[in-house]
Amino acid sequence: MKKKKHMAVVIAFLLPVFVIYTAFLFIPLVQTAFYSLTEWNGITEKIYVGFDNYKELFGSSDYWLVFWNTIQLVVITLLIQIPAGLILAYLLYMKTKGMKIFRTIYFLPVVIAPVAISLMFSLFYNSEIGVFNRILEMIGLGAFQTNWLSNTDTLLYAVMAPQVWQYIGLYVTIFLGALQSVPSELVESAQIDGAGQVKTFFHVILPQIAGFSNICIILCITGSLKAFEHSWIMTGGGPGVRSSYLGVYMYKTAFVNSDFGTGSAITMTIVALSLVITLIVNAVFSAREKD
Amino acid sequence: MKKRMARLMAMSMAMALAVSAAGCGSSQTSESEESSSGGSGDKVSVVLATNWGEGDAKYDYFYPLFEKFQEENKDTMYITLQTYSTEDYKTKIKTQTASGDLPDVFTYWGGGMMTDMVDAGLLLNVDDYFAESESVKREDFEESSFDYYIAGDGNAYGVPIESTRGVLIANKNLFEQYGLEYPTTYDELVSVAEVFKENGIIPMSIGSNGGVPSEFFFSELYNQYEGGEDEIAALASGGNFDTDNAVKVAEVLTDMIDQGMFPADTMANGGWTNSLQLYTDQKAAMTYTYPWNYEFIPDEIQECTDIIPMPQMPGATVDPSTIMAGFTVYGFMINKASFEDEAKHDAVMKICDFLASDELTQSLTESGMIPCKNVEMNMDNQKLIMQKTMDYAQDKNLVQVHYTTMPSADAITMMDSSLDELFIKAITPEEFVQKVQDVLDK
Amino acid sequence: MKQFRKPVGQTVKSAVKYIILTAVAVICLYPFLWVVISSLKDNTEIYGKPFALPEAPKFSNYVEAWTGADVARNFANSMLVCVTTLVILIVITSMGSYILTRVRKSRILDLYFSLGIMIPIHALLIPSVLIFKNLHLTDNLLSLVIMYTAVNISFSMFIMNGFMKNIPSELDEAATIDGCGRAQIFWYVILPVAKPGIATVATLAFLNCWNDLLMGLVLISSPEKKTLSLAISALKGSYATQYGLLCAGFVISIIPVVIMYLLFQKQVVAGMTAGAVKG
Repeated sequence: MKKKKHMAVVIAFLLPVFVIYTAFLFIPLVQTAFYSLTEWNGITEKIYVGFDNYKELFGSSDYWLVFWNTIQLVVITLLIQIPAGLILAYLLYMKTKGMKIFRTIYFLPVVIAPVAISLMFSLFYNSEIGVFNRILEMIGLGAFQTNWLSNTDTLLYAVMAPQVWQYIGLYVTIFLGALQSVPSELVESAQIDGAGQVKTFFHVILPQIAGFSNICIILCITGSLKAFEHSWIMTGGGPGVRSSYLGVYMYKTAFVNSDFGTGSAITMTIVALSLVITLIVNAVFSAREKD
Repeated sequence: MKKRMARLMAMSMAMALAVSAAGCGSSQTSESEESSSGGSGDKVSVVLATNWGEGDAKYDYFYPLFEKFQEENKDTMYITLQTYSTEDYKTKIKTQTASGDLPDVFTYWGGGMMTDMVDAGLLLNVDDYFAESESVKREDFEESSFDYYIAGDGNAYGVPIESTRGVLIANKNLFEQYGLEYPTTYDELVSVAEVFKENGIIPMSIGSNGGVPSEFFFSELYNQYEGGEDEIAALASGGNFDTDNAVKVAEVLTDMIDQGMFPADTMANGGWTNSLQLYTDQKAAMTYTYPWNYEFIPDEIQECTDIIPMPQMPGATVDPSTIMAGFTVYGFMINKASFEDEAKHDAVMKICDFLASDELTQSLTESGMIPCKNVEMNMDNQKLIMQKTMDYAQDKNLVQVHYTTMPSADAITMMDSSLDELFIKAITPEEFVQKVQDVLDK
Repeated sequence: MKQFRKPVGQTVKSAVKYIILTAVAVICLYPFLWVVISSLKDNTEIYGKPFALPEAPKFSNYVEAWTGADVARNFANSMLVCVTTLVILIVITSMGSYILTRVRKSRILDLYFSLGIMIPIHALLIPSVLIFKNLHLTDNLLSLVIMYTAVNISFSMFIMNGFMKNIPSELDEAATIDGCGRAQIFWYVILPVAKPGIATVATLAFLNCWNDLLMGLVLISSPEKKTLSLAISALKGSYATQYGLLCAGFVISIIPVVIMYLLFQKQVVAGMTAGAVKG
């Protein structure tokens, strides 16, 4: 009797989220998987072509360049956004006066439309009118002046910078929420035991919010794998595909060139890559938990 | 206890039901609306889509007339007007095509962008429309403006609206200040550029971001070479981009880049707004632009701006002062199924007559649009620079650009993104030409 | 001696802390100010003097953006869609997350739900248009609500799971001993404690919905059903764009989000004191 009731609750609680998710997200994904096996211009009948789209993709040097750009973005966002988000959140958490104001300000860039941020940064970078080169000169780094968006060595990173920077506030918010959910007795008792702030952070707080770093890492990775707007607005993913990520490449292929079959195949590779990386991250984390 | 749990369960269930029920509810209403409109013949629902979004110069000249039209016809039709900015608009139309909800009448581009639609039989041969229309005839339009909409079968699938002219504009004051003449040959251009550079002025503000404006500049130069005009025209059917002329023009461009004629940062200074901006700020002496950007040129700059012929490039045979890039930008298309749908037919005809009317065309010209239809442009209402353009254009032989004759959309994309690469010197002229040709060969 | 030293070190530390925090705050505040300042300029000023204050503030940008984007009407649409989405999203994901973290763990379902954050939104455009066409929900705001809910489920579950996992299991056990059923435990014990999580999810999901352009673009066609971000995007020109006008549009759309965020912040703090500290 009790078990039956228990199951009923489980099902009743899970059903709504399961149904909406399956119908409107999973099924489209399955459809995309199907499109990826066809040749389709979005208008005429789809023609089944098996794995031809994938073969073509994997044989294209553009795809691998874009793939590599994306991986670089993943690594760079991970190395910058997560630590920066965590440090800032912790600084705010340490009984900081004006914490609310800081938190609001840190979140502001997240709210601003990427179009505006990208426009601002293109003006920054512009070697004719921008300030970036002028600032470099002022601080004695004039030798590093360059045409940021027109130099093949700097282009990709110039496009990445605004994106990496814009979303740090997101991770501050998540980490701060996590820190606040750590029972304050734990922290207090550690401090009573004489642990310094750094020690408290590493031995008491960090283990408590480990689950959240996991979440943030995965959000960070999947966000980078889908990255689109900044690159699209600043450079259209170009010149060539030099500042494209997989998300940009997918959009360009599907919606600009009307090749929905190949576009869907790119999507599937994004999902597969995300899945692989997520599984690895999860495995690493659960291994560490066991230690 | 039990009650509470039951209540919670009921709540979650009710919610799930509510979602689906709400779905059913609204679907019923929308269906009934449709059937009442289609069946009884009193009021029909039609969709008109345009890329004249609220931020576009044309919106202000289009919308008042549209409202009037809607008011006059409110007893017979209900028009849903979809307006978006161009980029959004293309995505919208593509998804609507994929889901089979193509608008009844919509503005769209021809050439490589319409090929798939024509192949799928979605578009009406516009002669069918002209045959029936009482107020609009095909002869009312510049015949060559249909070229952009002519498909492989020789029929036209769009009614052209906007035409344009490519112009090289020069700041008279800057030239006078340094005692320079407008260059007519490449050598003269090089020496003029030298003087400007010494004085910290960019000779020509031409960047390349997404192929803008570099792609049109490329075509403009291409037309100076022997056979260039014919090769561009033949591109539509033959798909041959890899010509000697293409390599030659790309080489000239590379040389211009090496000579420092363009802004150093061609990506950041590419795009219509940015390329023009250096010119209007008097940081650049010349630029290559199109009338649709004229509203961004301040009066005092219009005053000191001259439209000048392109200098003749090395090895070119055509006199640049006799030609000018001029082509159809876009027009409107008619959904074949809607035209053939008895319930919608009359409404579609009326909307087309409205879109092609002299009244609307004339109104749109005031936004700085050159019409494809032969209507009097009221020159007094035009900006000074537009008047200068029309004066200059009078005796010119209009030539095509690759953008309108490229047979497939992905070849245009490739041309644009590879030109960006050429401009930052990441690829050679030969590689550029090859990359575009590879796409065409696919 | 020792007693003296500590406060001095503390002061230096806290000074460093405030210097860092303030520096970051300036960097974060700047773009916002830049957008506001640019919204009062024309293109010549934005490009010519991108970092100066406007010479003669162009308030007409706001008037034009307000009427051009029909803010009064489209704001209501956006609010309606976003708030409805938030309510549905939070209810269903917190219920689901509660089960998956505290009642019946399932690695397969966890993985299944995490698939959603990996799908680029562009990939969903055409399938979703087809689905809603079959459901006869074309050009209906409800389709937007459903789609926004669906695309936000994954990351909401993800974040919510983190918060739910962190709630000590003694809480459930104590409640069970008191004779509470699962549903009651969820409603009266877990949900209040999970408030910071809910607030985080709500803030981020609201932002996603509010700023979304593409879903609105493909699912909505009638002008009277447009969302605010859609209407503001229409302020772009076909060729050249008046960036001042566009920035004015951005400012108009940012303000409600900031207000929303400030409100939720209060909730976060309230949730903390009511839940985590007492519990």
